[in-house]
Amino acid sequence: MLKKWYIICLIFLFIPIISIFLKIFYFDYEISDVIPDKGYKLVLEIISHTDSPKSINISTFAPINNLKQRVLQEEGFSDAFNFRLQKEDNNRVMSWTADRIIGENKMRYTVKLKARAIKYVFLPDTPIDANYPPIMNKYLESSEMIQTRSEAIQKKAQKLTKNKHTLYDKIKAIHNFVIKKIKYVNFSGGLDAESTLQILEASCNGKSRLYVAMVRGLGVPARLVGGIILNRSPKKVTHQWVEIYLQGNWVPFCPTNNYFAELPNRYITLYYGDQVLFKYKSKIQLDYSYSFEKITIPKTGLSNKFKDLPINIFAIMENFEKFNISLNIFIYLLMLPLAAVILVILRNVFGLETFGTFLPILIASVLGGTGVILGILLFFAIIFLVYLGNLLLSKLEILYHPKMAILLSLVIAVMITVFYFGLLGKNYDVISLVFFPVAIMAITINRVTIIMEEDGVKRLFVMTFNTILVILISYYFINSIFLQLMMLSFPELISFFIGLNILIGRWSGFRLTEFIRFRGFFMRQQYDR
Amino acid sequence: MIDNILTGHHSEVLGVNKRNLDYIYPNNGRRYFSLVDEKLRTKEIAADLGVPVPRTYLTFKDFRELISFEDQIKAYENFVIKPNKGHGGHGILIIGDRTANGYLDVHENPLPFRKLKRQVSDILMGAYSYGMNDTAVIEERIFPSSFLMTLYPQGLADIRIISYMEQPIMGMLRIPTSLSEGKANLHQRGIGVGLDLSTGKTIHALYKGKSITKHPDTHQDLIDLELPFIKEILDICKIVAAKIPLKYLGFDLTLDEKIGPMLIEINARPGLEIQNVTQKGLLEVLKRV
Repeated sequence: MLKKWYIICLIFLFIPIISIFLKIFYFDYEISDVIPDKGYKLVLEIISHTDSPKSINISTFAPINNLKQRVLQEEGFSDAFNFRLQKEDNNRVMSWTADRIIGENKMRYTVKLKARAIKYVFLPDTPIDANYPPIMNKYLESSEMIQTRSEAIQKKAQKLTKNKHTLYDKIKAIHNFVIKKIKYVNFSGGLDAESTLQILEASCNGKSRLYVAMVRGLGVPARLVGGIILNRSPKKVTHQWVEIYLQGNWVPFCPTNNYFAELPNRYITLYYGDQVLFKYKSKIQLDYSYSFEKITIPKTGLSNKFKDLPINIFAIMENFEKFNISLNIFIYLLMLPLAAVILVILRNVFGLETFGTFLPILIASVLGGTGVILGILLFFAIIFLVYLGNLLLSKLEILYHPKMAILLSLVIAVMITVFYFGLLGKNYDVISLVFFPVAIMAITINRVTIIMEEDGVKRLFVMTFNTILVILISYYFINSIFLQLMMLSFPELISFFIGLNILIGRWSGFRLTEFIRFRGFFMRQQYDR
Repeated sequence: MIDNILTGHHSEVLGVNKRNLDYIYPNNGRRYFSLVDEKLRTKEIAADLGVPVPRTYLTFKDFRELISFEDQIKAYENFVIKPNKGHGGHGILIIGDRTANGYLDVHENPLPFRKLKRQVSDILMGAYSYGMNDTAVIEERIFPSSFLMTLYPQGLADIRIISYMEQPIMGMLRIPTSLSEGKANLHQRGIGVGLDLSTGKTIHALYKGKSITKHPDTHQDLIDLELPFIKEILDICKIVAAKIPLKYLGFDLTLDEKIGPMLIEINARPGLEIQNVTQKGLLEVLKRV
């Protein structure tokens, strides 16, 4: 006989399965259509140092908008420098200026950008365009570092392309030569095209200059591209590659990592042309690093595309964007039911008891703003402060509610102190602590006080450990890109989680921690039987 | 066997999930919880049945009543201040003796009036009942019988009986220690001594998760003692349980030096640690009821 709860549970579990099935087979819903774009949040941090007061002007490049990448949001921040962003030719130049400053000063540029992989179909019969507009002339010229007219380079290019009849074959021959015959060595400082050909080894910039020089020799416009590969964070090494003008498109080629008419999404373009990454006049010491994290950015136009769907979640997403509310907030909302189910499993199946019912997942959802380490440290600091505060206040014999208010004030005072000294030491990360909501602090203070008074310090310690563990686990689930995509594509999965909760809610087995608590019985059982 | 352990069936131990699902939810209706969560109501029920309970001297429901606190309380020599809706022994202040300008606690430390008053205001503000307003109860202080006094003279030892369907099924004696600050609760480091309910004999003692045979402070033997009034204690549980529409309960009683068994409070969500104390699984016993 089927029990009532069992049927209800099955209904909740099956609704989303049916819905997903219908979406895919009836509404032609393809996950790839709704998968949000991948993007990056990129942070450039520059530190300047001077021993004597100097007026400083530092300029570098902000990511470019092109087919492969799009800047969504950017800002520059420094308490000593003025930040300015302007267009120079095809590039976007950011400059940092300051009058008569001394010592160490920090600059920070943050940008959110959409980035995708790009791939061109380079047809073997692509013709060489004979007449380029005059504006293209500069991409055909010989320069100091890209010596298109150098005899050695021209000779080599002719030799490589002698028996090749199509543009495709010619470029492929040059590409293969630069890839295979120019040994990659990692040295700093630029190497010109001619020297690269001479010594047959170079880093990415020498390889790219030689590549550009030879392609220009064919009469095809080509240019150097500078940027950064977002594979490890933080990183200081920038990268250079090549773009060739084919049939009205600038098509990318990377002679270092062997990309032919394509690039993966992790390549971010900072500038076009043979440029120096940082320009500054005065004699100063400069240090910089790029750090990044992956983000998801919703596709636009989806609400229109899926207007046949009975419930169109994309309309919500687009309105969020319209009002300039971060999509992350919406994603976190979608992830909460999943995080709650994880919490329930950890509690009722594993037996990990934590502060408050939802406190761990609330904290996990703000860690994205504060950063994991800072957020956990703050949580730990609050518990420690409340512990200390309770010890001190118990001597003063203060009533309950005023005591709570004092503890909250104490936590805020310490936070302000952290801000003050953090910013004094030019540590801008501490600012992100404002993302830790006061409501969460208040609940934490309350729960910690009750546990400390009722169950003692040992239990407080165990609960703190459990809570942090559960926070980290939920953080992992909430921020999993795969799970976020699943929730965005199939929000009906919330019904599945309700079903799961019914299942767990009707499960009367032991919690894992009870095997430890009642180990006497389980060990005895093994002997007895 | 792994399957049995995972599902919690056929195993003698009762886990939290199974306790809640199969015993508390079906048998203890939430709307009746206040009968046992509020000590004043419990005492009323017990008193109607002729079951001895600590006498209530005074109750304070709001702050206005605190204006004449000193005058009202002066009439009593020794008493206990407790929250009506408290739990787990929290918020209980025991007043030991009266002096010229105040009171003494059980350790003979001075307790000025303002400390008593503060305890009452904390209770009113809900410091011991999850932040909800509460009533402070001033009641008779119980002087334990010589049997309990011998085991540990400070604080009040009590007896926990689990009853299911009006049948007492498992019991233990809880004795305070120097670490438990006069309280007998196990998680506050009291000693649990398992009882054989058919004979009233103590069978096993647990202190801080370890088996012991003697009280760590008084070095009194804890095993094979015969708890006096065991029959009366079980009778109290049976008649009170019959009057309350909750069927899975934890009774807390003690032995008064003059009156004998006395009911202190009842718990609608009794803990599971008693299984480690008696070395007997609750499930095994519950199934026989």
